[in-house]
Amino acid sequence: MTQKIALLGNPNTGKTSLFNRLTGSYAHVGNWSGVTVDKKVGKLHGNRGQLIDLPGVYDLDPLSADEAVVARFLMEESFDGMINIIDASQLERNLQLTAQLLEIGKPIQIGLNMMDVARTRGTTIDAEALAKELGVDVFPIVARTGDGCEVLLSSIPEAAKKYTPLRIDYGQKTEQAITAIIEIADLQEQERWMAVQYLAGNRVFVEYLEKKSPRIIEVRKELERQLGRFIHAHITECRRNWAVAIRAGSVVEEKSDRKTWTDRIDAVVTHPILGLPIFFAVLYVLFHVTFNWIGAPLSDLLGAFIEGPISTGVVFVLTQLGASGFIQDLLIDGVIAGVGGVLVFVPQIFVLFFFISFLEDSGYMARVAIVMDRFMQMVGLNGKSFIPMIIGFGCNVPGIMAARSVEEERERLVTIFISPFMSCSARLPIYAVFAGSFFASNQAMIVLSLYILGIVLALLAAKVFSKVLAAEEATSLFLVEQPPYRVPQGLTLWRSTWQKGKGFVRKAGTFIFGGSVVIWLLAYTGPGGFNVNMNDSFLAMIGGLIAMLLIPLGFGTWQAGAALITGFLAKEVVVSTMAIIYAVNESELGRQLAGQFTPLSAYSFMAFVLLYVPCLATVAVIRREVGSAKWTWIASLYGLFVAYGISFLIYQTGHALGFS
Amino acid sequence: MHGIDILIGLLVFGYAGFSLIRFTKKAKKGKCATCEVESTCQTACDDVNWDKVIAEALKK
Repeated sequence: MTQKIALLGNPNTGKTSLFNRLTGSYAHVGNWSGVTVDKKVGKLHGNRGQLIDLPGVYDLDPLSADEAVVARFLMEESFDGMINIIDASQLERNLQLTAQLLEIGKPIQIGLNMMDVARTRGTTIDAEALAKELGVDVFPIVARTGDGCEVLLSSIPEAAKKYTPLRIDYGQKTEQAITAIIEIADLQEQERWMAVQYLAGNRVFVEYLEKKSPRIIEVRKELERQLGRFIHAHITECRRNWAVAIRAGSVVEEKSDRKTWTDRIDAVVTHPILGLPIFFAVLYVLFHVTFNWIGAPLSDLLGAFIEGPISTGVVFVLTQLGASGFIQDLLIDGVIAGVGGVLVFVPQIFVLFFFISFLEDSGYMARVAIVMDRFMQMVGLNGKSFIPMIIGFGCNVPGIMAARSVEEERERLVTIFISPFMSCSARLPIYAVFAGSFFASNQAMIVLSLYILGIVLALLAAKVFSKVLAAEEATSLFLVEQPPYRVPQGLTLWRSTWQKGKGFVRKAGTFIFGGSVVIWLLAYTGPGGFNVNMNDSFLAMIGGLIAMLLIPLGFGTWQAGAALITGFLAKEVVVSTMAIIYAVNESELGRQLAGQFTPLSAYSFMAFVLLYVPCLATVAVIRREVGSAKWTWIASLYGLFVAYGISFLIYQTGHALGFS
Repeated sequence: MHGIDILIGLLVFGYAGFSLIRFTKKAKKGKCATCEVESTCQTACDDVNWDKVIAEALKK
């Protein structure tokens, strides 16, 4: 039987980095809390069994949906051992979780990570002394570079030996209550930890044990009366005392008053007034590099390659093979125009993802949550909700899943509802085409304005949803760990960029391919038969259905209508559809569009695409995370009204002001 | 209509249909389609009963 090892620890201690090291996976790693919101199972190198990466928790008592995964896992699933990752720079706090894990009594190994960070804060930990104090093996590791991970991995098989559970003395009265609960609930002696978790108020265990034996409620009430305070406060204090004692025995403290680099940078980037302009400036630079400096020239090169050698080559081969005009049109005007129209943006997407990964791994993104906290508070959320929103900049699907780390249920729902307004990377090709054609010299500024528009509208929508959903006016506190700044590593950055960008390339080769073929067929056929004039095609009929409604927004053509309808499946398809409709390559597309759009209507169109509906995958994940069909409909469709209103305002106001 | 037309036509339309169906199915599942460890992952996609976890969170 393969053994199962669970990976546990506080948030942002490097569990997923270690998971990737030990299993050869490439799970998303970020220098902030709450990157893992689900458990992930990977195969350990050398057939040593399975490693299960769990969301980070400070305590086994779950506060949010992702944390409940941990308590549930420990209670319900069988596993053979644990690896507990400890952040050496926060030893005492990390040990509080370690105490609870040691109480379980399963084989456990400690990975002591971030010793370098601890050292810069003037703390040196004696790993051997710590191992002695805890009575288990402690391995100093650097999860990011992999130092020490091999030793940890090779010692896993030894984990089969028996471990005695840690017994913290909670005082006579509590100990009596623990014994009583073990007896009444018919627990095994080695399940003492469950009784402790129950008394500490762990929701998962309270539900489980009280259902099993309702009589234990009396024991808990009696103990609370005897202690004269909340039991969880008492138990936490006992654990803290234990942690303080352990720390005292294993840490050499060097008092240091000097400010770390992290403190100095934080003083500027999380400044109450400067923080927000700095964030926008960072975004501006990011877009400028993506659209003007690196991304666009690379995209042009790729575009020229697809239009030139590839298209000519395919035509040549097809002619040589004697393929008919239908097949030639299908491949050139359908597949190459549709797929190529999206593929040319791969360089830009990768450049953008590279910089987003850089910001994530450096620790800056976690600060953005702090900067945004003030604004989030105004709309009934807090900074923590901004983290899923930032993740949504890559793709809305993981962004919505990341909302699980938001503790308060109302806030989690609101975060999910507003996440689709975050401009995901699939919208980028649309901006690139339109901003490139109509606002060539101000591309970065135009794209930045759309991102900001998304954020502002998300905040306004949050305000409305908070009002609708709020039973009472209660906002939760925002406590988030600020990771130290660090220079991201090349390999991590590349992996992170590749992981995010890979999906885009894969989608182009699969879904966009399929979609392009169907769209081309719809444009090629009509009630009149095959090879009809495109204005008489089925696609024109479909697009024409909504074209009338779009006139007040400035783009009332069947072409825009068709692109928007197909864009529901995936936003990139908007560009594919347009490339097929105009049967041109990407560089030519801009010129064609100039005949149908003005700068004003182009901006109105981009705003509409940003807001109108989440894509199919996003709707599916909303359905799953919200668990209600009604709210899924609301979350998916309210954007349509917002989009219509905003585009209407932009176009009509712009028109009245004399813009064209 | 030549044999080559039929061959290319079948390949292109066949692959297009296949990838559309597969993507739509995956997109509806939502979760695993976007997961980063998909290639090495050994978890069944419905391993965690999220409906249950979320229902609990809602109760809270």
